[in-house]
Amino acid sequence: MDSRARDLPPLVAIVDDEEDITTFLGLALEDEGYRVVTINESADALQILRQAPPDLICLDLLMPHRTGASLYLEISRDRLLASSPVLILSGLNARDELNDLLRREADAEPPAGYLEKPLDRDIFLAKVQQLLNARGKQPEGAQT
Amino acid sequence: MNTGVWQAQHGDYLLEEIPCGIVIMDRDLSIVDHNRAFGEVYGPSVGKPCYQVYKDRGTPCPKCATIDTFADGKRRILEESGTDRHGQTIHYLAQLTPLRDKHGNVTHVAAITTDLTATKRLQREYQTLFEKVPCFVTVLNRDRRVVKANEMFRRTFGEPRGEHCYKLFKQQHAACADCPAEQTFTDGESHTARHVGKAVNGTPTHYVVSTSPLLQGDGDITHVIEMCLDITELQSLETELAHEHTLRQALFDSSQDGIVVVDEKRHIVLMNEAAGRLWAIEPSRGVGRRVPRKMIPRVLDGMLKGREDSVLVHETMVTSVTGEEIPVRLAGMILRDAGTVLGAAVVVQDLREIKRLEKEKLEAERLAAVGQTVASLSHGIKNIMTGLEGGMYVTSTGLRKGDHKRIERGWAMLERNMQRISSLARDLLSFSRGEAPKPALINPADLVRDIISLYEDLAAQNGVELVLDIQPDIAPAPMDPDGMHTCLANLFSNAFDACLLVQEGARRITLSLIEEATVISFEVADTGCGMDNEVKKKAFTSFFSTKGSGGTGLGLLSTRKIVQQHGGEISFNSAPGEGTTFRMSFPRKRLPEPAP
Repeated sequence: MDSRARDLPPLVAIVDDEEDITTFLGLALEDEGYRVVTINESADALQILRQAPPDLICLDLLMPHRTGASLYLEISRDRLLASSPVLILSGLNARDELNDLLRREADAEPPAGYLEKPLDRDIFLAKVQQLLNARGKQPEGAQT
Repeated sequence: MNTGVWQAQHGDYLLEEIPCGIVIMDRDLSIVDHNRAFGEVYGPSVGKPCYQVYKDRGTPCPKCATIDTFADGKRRILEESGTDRHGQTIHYLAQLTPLRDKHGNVTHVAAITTDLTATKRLQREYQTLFEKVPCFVTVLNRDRRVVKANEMFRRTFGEPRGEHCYKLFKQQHAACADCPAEQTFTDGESHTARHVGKAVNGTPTHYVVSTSPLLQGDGDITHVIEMCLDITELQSLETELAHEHTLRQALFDSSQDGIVVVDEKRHIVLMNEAAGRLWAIEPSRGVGRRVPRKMIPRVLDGMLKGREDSVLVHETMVTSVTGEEIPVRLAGMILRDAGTVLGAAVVVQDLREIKRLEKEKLEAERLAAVGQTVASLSHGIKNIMTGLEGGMYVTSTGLRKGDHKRIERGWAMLERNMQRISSLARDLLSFSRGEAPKPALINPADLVRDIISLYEDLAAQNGVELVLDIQPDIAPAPMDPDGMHTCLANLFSNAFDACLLVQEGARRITLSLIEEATVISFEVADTGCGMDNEVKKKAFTSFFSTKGSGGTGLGLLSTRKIVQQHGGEISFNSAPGEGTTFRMSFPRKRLPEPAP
């Protein structure tokens, strides 16, 4: 299922406990031709992401049961997922929290991108495109 | 004995009646005659050797004074002891006189014996008294040298060896200025003084000295007897007492708490500076006055009437003479002497400053909470805005594409987020209203049972086992029923949600109510998903919800506010996968006063 091998449109994962947000961002990305996987339960996220390592992971920070910060740390150390860039989507408080966590964990790399909520659709899409371009990826709609 | 008129008339009558033993011995020490007084003591003795009669011996004494008198013809006086006819020891004075024939040869020796036994006993008694009396007793000569000292003196000040009294008593080299012995030598009267000496081991010795003259027959004072009572221990007790008094006075004076002592008729006996400041009375003017009833609350009457021996009121009001109402903590205790009520002591701690600080702290906490609330409020609103933005996008793209399903989906998103705005506004309003609790005397167990009856059906439907653990006999307590219900419902609902995240069969919530050392504690323990460290840190932060759009994040914050309004504390233990236990503890003494 590696999109890179089969030349499929890039796969973008959205991890956020708020269903409205995953619905919104998921549809917005699909409308642009991306393939999308949405995850609302952060505790299951790692397992789902490993089944199909995405080209980009959009990650909320403040989530129940498992915070995005600890999930980010896990992703950045995961053999299958470490190469997927992570775009953090969150409010200001959580950004501080993430920075705290990164300071404590000496080996942790900062995330590839950071967007503050509330999200503007155009800015979000542009940011996604920018991160994928950096990896040489374009959505299906853009190729035709 | 020369022949005279008296003897010619009365014969040996004199010899027979005189109260001294008279005996005449020959050269063989054999008794040739004795008078009646001698016979009464030693029994009929004519023909017996003197040593047998006097000393119950079979041979003459080794140093026989009678033999010496026969030899040198000299008179002798000697003190002797022997045995009487009953075998009792007797002391006697013997006066030996040689009796001569017409040629001047000593043919007989006459002995006049005086019984000293009674005198000797008296002497021994006085000696024992002198030695053993628990005072320092000394005999001083005119030179103020100690010629005799008793055992206690020798033990304390050493052997006198004829030293001066001032050297012995005080290790001084000159007489004391107020020497009572000197006064006695001068006026012949007894004198008393208080002195401090120095024992041989160097410790100061306090004593009261009394002197008395020892008179010779002619009225001359040759010696003075000094009797000194050791009062060192008494003195040190006195010093200790004085020290303690000073200490107590200092404590009393410098105490920051007001102390008032009243007699049984409420008259002020003692009052310290702090009490003066509190009631705005000069302490010296307060003493002797009757305490106005308003000044010290009713509890004082109860004590003085013997209803209670002590009281402790954590918070009450007193009124100063200027009419100011002052919040205080008051402790009172009855003062008794051998069962009789002497009055009462009242200690009041001015709580104005503490109250002010408490209020400031509360205000500071409230401001901090407002700051935090504003910050997290903006975060909560950001999420809702993203949701609204999403709903608009989905709805508008649905309209453009003519996709009905999409329109419905977008519309639902819009509705949901509008709903979130209104519930956020509602919770925020109830949180910020900051209503004071309305405490009433309620049974804490009833609160727990209410929660159970409210949630038991829901719990059963979701396979959550409910366990109730209520300690019996917990007395009613002043609590706001609505506020406490909100707290328990919030904690229960959190526990319930946490349980839904674990598999059925492992879902259990235990509600406990216990009272230990007058602290009432409610516990809500679940076997749910538990919290990791990051969630725990944010548990009491406004708008942090782990329930996604299901919670406004105000539940625990409101609960904590209500608990604090009841003077209580809220704490929890949690570990991921092991469940969470929340505990609300309320010390009874900090609960609010029940509304009248």
